[in-house]
Amino acid sequence: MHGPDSVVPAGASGDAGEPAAAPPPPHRLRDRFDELSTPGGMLLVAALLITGIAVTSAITDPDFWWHLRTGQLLIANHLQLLGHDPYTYTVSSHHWTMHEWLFEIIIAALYDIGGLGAIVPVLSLLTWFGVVFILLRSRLHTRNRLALGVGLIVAALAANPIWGPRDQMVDFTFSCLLLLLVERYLMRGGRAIWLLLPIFLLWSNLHGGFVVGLVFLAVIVVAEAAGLRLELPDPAPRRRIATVAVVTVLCTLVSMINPNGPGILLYAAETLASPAQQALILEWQSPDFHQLEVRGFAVMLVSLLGFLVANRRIRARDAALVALTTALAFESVRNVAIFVAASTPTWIEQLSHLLDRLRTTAGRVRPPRLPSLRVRVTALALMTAVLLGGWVGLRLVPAMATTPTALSYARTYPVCASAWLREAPHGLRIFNQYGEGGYLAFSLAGTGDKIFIFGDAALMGDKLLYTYADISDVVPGWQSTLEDYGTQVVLFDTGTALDHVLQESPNWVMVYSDPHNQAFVLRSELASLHLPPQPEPTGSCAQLAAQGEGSS
Amino acid sequence: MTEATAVPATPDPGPPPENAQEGRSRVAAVAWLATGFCITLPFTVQLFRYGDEWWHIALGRLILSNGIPATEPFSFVATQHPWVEQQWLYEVLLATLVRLGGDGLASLVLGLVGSLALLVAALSVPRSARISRGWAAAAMLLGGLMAGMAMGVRAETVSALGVALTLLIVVRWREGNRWVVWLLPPMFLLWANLHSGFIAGLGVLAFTLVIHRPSRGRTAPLPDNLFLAVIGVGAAAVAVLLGLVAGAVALVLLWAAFRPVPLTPGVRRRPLAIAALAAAALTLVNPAGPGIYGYIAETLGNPILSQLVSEWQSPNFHDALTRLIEVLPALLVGLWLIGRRPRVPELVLATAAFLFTLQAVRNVSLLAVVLIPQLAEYGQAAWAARAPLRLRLRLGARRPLGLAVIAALAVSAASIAVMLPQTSATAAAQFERTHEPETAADYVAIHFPGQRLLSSDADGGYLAYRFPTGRVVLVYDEIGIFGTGPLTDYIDIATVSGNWQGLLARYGIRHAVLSASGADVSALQELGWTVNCYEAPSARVVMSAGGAPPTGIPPPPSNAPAC
Repeated sequence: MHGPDSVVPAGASGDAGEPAAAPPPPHRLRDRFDELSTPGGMLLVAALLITGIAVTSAITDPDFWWHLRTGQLLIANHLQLLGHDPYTYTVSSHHWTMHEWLFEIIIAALYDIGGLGAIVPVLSLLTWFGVVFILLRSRLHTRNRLALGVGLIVAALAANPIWGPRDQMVDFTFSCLLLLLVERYLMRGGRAIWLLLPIFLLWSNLHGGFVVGLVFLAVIVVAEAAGLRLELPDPAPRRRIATVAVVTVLCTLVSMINPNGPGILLYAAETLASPAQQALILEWQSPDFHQLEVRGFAVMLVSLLGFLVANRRIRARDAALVALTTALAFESVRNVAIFVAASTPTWIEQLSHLLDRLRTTAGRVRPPRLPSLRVRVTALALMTAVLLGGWVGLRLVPAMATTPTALSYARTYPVCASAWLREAPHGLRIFNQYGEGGYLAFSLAGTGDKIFIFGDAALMGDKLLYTYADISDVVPGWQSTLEDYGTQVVLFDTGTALDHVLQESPNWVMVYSDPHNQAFVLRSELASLHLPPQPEPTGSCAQLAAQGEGSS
Repeated sequence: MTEATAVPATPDPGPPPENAQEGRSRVAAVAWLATGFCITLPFTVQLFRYGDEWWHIALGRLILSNGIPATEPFSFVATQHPWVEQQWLYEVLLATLVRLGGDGLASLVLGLVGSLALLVAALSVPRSARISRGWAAAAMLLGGLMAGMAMGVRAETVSALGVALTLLIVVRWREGNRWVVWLLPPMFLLWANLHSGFIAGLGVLAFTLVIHRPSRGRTAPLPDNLFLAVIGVGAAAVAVLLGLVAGAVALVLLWAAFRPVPLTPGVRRRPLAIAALAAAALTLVNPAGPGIYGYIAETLGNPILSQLVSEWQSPNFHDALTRLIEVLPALLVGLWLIGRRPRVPELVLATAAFLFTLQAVRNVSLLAVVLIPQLAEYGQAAWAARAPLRLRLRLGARRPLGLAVIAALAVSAASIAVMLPQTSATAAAQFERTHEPETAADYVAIHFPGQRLLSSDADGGYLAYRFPTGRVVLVYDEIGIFGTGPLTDYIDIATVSGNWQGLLARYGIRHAVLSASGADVSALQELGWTVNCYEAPSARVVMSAGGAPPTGIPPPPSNAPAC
C-alpha cells in the first residue's frame, strides 16, 4: 500500500552516512572486514551475538521432560509409535497423535550422548539459526546495518517470553527458513523454492506447528494475488505467485507423509479450537502487558505501525503476514515467536526506509571518517570475543551443566518428591500439578507409577483439563472426583489452595513435605500403601530444604 | 455525501436552489447522526452487569438521607486510606433514577449518556474535513460495538462523555473558536463531582497544550530528523521498564519536547491554557478537595488492582468482541496508509489510547471516543482516494431524501426495539435473581442480622446494598480506599492461601455468602463450616462456622436446602 505522497526511495541503503544506493556485495575478505568493522557492521555483529545470548538458556519448558522420556520409549520401541500414553491413569485409552515423534527421538538420542549438555546447544543453535534466517530475509530488501542490528535486538526483546530450548523453536526456525526461501524466490526466482518440499517432510515429523508454515504460504499467495489486482507496490511476478501456489499444494501433500498420516493436519486445528486449552494453559492465553517481558512485543508492534504510517508503503504479502501474526500473538502469548519470525524483516525494512528519509531530509551525504581498518578490525575482534565469551561462559556452559536434579529444577519441579516416590512401592496413581506431569513422567520412568495429567493438552482432552482445573481449584466435589479416578497420592505445590485444604481435611494425611511440594494420601489407605518415611534430604534437596527453612 | 467533490457529478437536469440543497444536506446529516445514535443503544443500554451498581445506589441513598459519610460506611475492615467520595453526585443521581423508575430507568439514562458520548466523538471531526455523516454513523457503530464492553450503568460512561466533549472542544479550539474553551471549567467542576475519570480529560488538555506550539506554519508533517530516534527509543524504554501507560505518557512528552506541532495561524494557546488551568482548579471543588488526586494516585498505583478486577487486566483476545481492540486500530492504520496521512496529534493520541487499552481493558471506551472521529475522517479520505470509480459513482448518486429518512427511521426503530427490553423491570429483576445473591441475602437478613459476612469482592457490593448499615461486608470493588493490607488479606482468604484461617479468626468472620463452586467453600467445609442454604439461580451458598469437621466427603453444597 502506498499513499499518493509516498516519498520512499526504492533502493536499498547502507549505514547512516553512507550513500543510499545498495553497495555491490563484497567478494573479498578485506571488503567483508571493512564492511563489518563500520559502526553499523559492528552493531550488526553485536546484535547477532546478543540474540544468541537471548535464545540460550537452561531448559525451562515443563513439557521438555515428557518429550525426552517419550523419545527414550520410542527408541526402546524400535521407533514404533506408542499409540497410547504410558504415563497417565486417566486417559491411557485415548489415541495419542505423536506429532513430535522425530523431535523426541532426536533429543533422546542427544541425551544419551551427553545428557542435557548435548541438547541445550543444539536447540539453542536451532533457534539462533532462525534469527540468522530473519537476517538473511531482511537483507534481501535492505543492507542498512543499523536497521538490521537494531531490528534483531528488538526482535530478541520482543520474543523474550518465548525463547529457550523447546520444541516450539522448531516452528520458529522453520518458519523463518520458509519465509526466507519464499521471499527470495518471489524476488529473484530460482529453484530453491523446491527445497520447501523436503523441509515440510521434515517439519511435519518434528512438530505439529508446521501447519503455520502452510498458512503462511497460502496467505502469501492470496495476498500477492490481491496485491496484483489492487496494484499494490512491489508485486511479485504472476508466474512466481502461481509457482508458490503449486508448491503450497505439494507441501500440504508432502506433510501428510508422517506416521500419523493426513490426520496431522487436523491436529493443529483441534488444538486451536479447544476452549479448555485456550482458557487454562498460560501460554495459550493473551499477553499480559502488566508483565515486563511481554512489553517488548507491544513496543515492537507499535513502532512497526509507526514506521508504516511514516513510510506509507508496504508489500501486500508483508502486510498480510504482519496482520496475521499480530492477531496470532494477541490470541496467545506463545505466538509472539511467530510474530517475530514473520514481522521482523518488515520492521527492519520499514526502519531502513525511515532512516533513508531522515538522511534525505538532513541532506548529509559525506560519510563519517572512520579509524583505519586495522584499528576497526581489532575493535571488532575484541567486541566479538567479549560477546562470544559472554554467550558461551555466562549462558551456554551454565545451561549445559544443569542436570535434571539441579537446585534450579528442584525449585520448580518435584525433584525431591520424585526421589521419595521412587523409594515407594510402585504402581501408585498420583494426582499432580499440570506443569509437573512431564517431570514426573521422566523421573518416575520404570516405576509403574501413573500420573493424572501432563502437558500434551490435546491428548488429555478438554474434559480432563476441566476436571483437573476443578480439583486444583478445590471446587466442591473435588474429593469424589479424585476417588472416582482411583487416586492414591496427591502431590501438589506447597501453598496452593488444594494444599491448604488437604492439610485441613480430616480425610487426608500428609506423607511428604518439602519447600516445593507436599504429598497426601487418604487416611483410610495410609496403612495399605506402605509408603516409606520421608528421606533425609541430600544434594539439591538439602539445599532446597535449607533455603525453604531460611525463607520461612 | 460531501466527498462529492471527489466523485464526478451524475447527470442532473439542473442544480437545485442552494438553500434547498443545504436543507437537504442538513436533514440527511441529522438522519445519519440520529441513526448512528440509535444503532449504538443496544450496546450502551445495559443491565446491572458490573455488580458495582449496587453499592453506588446504596451510597447514593445514604448521601440523600444523611449527607456524605465521613468514613467508609459498609466494610468492617479498617481501610488504609481516607474515605474519598469521588462519585457522590453520580451516586445521588443513580439512586434518584432508581427511586423514580427502577433499575430500568438507570439503565436507559446511562445508556443514553453512553450513546451521546459516541455521538459527540463522531462530531469531533475538524469541519475542514467536510465528512459525510454517513461515515460518522458507521464509525459510531464500530466504536459502539467496542465501547459497549466498558459502558453501562457506571460512572465511567459519564467519563467517556466527558472525554468526548473535551476532544470536541479541543477540535473546535484548533479551528479558531476561542470561546468554546470556556465551557471547560464548568464541565470539569461537574465532572470532578461525578467521577474521578476527569483525570483523562485533564490528560487530553495537557496533551493538547504540550504538543502544540504557536506558529504561523501549518500542521507539521511527521518528524523528519533524528529527534524521532530520541522519541522512539525513549518512549520504548519507558514502556518496557515502567509499563505501557507510562510509555504512552513518555511518547507524548517526548514528542511535545522535541517535535511540537505548530498551531494554525490565528489560533492562540493562551485561552486554552487559562481555561484548562481554571478547569483543573475547579476539580478541587469536591467533597474530598485535593484528596481526590491522592485517591486517583492510590487507585492507579495499587498493584493488587489487576489481580482483583478483570477490567484492569490486559484484554483477553479470546473473546470475539475484544478482537475489536485489535481490528479497529488496524483498520485506522490501514486508512492512514491508503488515504490521507494523519495529523500528528491524532496519531499520538490514538497510539496512547491503544497502549492504555492494552494495559487495561477498561480503557476501551477511551479508545473508542478517540478512534471514532478518526475512523470517520480517514475512512472518507481513503474511500475518496482508493475506491473504484464505478462504486463511488453508484453510491454517490443522489437518493430520494424521503426514502433515506424512512430507512434511517426504520433502523433506529429496530435498534430501539432491540434495546427496550433491557430497560424493563422484569429483565432487571431476572438479571438480579440470576447474577446476585438475592435470596441468600434474604436468608442472612433473617438468620444472621448484623453479622459479619465473608463474600467475594463482587458480591460485597450487592451485600452492601442489601445491608447498608452495620458494616457487615469485608471488601467491595472500591479498591482505592482499602489499601494493599486489607486487600491482600481478602485475597488470601478467597484463594485459601497464606494465613487464611488466622485471618478469618482475626476478622471475627463466622458467616459467608459464597459462590458454590469456590475453593473457599471446600476449605470452609473441611474446617467444619455448615452450608445453611443454596441459592440455585445464582449458585450461591450461605455458610456458618461452628460445626464439626466432616468425617467423610462433604455433601455437595447444592444438596443444601434452598435459601
